[in-house]
Amino acid sequence: MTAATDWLLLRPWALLLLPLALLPWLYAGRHVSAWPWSGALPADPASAWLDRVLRVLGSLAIAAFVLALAGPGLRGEQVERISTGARVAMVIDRSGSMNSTFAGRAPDGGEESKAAAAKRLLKAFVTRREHDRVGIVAFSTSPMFVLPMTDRHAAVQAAIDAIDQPGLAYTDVARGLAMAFDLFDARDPVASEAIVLVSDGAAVIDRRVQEKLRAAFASRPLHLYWLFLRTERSPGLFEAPADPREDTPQRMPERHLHRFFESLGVPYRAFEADSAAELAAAIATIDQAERGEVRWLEALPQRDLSPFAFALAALACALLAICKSFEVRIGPPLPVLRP
Amino acid sequence: MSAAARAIDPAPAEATLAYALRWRVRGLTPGAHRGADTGPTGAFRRLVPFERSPDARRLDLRASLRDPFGGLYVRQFEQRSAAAVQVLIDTSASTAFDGGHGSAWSRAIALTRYVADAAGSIGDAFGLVAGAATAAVERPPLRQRANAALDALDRHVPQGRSIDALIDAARTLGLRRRLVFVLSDFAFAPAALATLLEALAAHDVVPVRFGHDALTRLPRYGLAELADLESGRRRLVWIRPALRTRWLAAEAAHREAVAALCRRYGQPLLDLPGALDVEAVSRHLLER
Repeated sequence: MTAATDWLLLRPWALLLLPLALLPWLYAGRHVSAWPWSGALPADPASAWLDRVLRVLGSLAIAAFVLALAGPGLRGEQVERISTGARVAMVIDRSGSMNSTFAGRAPDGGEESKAAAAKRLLKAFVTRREHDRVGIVAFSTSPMFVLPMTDRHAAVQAAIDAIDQPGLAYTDVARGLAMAFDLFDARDPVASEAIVLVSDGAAVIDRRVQEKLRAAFASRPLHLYWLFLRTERSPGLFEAPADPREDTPQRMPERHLHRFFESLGVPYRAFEADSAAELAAAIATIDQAERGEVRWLEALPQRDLSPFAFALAALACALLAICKSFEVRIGPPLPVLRP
Repeated sequence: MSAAARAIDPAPAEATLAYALRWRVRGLTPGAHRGADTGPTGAFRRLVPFERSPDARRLDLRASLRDPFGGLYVRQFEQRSAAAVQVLIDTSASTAFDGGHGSAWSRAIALTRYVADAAGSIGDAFGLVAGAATAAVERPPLRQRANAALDALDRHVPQGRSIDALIDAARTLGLRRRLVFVLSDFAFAPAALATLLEALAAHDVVPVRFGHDALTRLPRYGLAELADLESGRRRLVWIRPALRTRWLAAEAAHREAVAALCRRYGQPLLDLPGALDVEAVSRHLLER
């Protein structure tokens, strides 16, 4: 995984200080005891070796400090990961109506809002599918890029946590979907890719925008799921109105968006959920369907190795300090200062 | 000794050195020691026939009358003669080491002053050679005061590594027997001392060692960086009980080797490990 070329030095010029490591061999920096004649001192190999070891430790401490100053590190790299799961782009509606309950009221103690229910269930979905890569786009008046495609679940959970904040007025589905396409980075023929649209309403999509979306879906074989959080007594996706004159995109935008999605020619399923339990069932269905092999490149950040160099230097210094504490001055007693 | 030097001398003023010689001095100069020659006065030595010493003033009437053959006898007395004292001082760098009682060098200078005073007071000639590889201070044996040479000693700083100057001086001392003081810390190989004692075989030698108590006070554990005063070489010593025992044994062996060498040449060593004690020197000189 690590080749020789992956090493790097942030400040290579600091290595110019490396000759300082020779200092302990020129100057030991110890207390010196003057001794008249060392001729009667017996030869002691242990002392000679200890002397060498102490000097090596001094050189090592200086060299490690210099190396730490030079900033050693491992270059960042791309690692290919393969797992079972899917690449899921969540396109989440942040319009104001998401903050009301399924019954269309402001949430009180007993009933949670649509956004809170979606948040809870999406988090459970993400937790269960730990090998998925998830990207999130929110939309209301304009699309908001929330999270790029990632397998960092902490980030995904935090992004989902944010979706029940109070939203804005409009619901611009088309631009949200267009941004979701940007989340899918590299093309992988094996991977299962899905867009999960979570919304409680729709808007009319312009004819020209429709053409662009159609071209985008044609270029990329991905699955499309629409979790339609239906408010009570609002028109559903599937039933046609009794009066054919009312069947216009302006009067029934959800139904016409559904028909537009059906006409795209990609695997598409719509779930119409008007309670938290139905929403859970819909998510379970998606969970069942989206299983495939995903492979992606994970970027590993550059790794700073200077703490290891500092630790080595600190260890050498600590050993030297211990030996320093055993240093003694022998021979004559120090002169006594008299007042 | 000059008045100024005496004023700063820490030794009590009444302390003086006394020495006696182990042999009868040959020489014509009158002095304080027992001489080999006979003279007109002094301690009675023997009776000789008048023919051998025809001096009617020393005629011993009682001995002459007692002789049944009628021979005449004359008394002979010992001539008191002056001797020559030579001081050889080792000034190698190791003598600058101060173990708490003054360096060997400063104690040697102090003892030299006592010797010079003692020699001057009884009319002996006083000579001096101080040096290591080469002689630093030299004075031939003279009866005059030695102030200039002693002041030169005060100015000298110990340096160098051998005692070649002392060996050279010993070889040129001449054949007349002298009292020779060898003042040193004997921090060198015993072989050099053997050479010196060999060169001094004709003389009466007093080796005085100025040792240091401090050298035997070693801790049980510790790391010490020793700087040899003579070679300047640094050496790290990891002191631990095993090495400490070996070290002290080696030091003791060296001290004993020096003392044994001196004994073998018939010149017992005087060991002065502490402060200079003139009375101890006198006692050694009178008792040996």
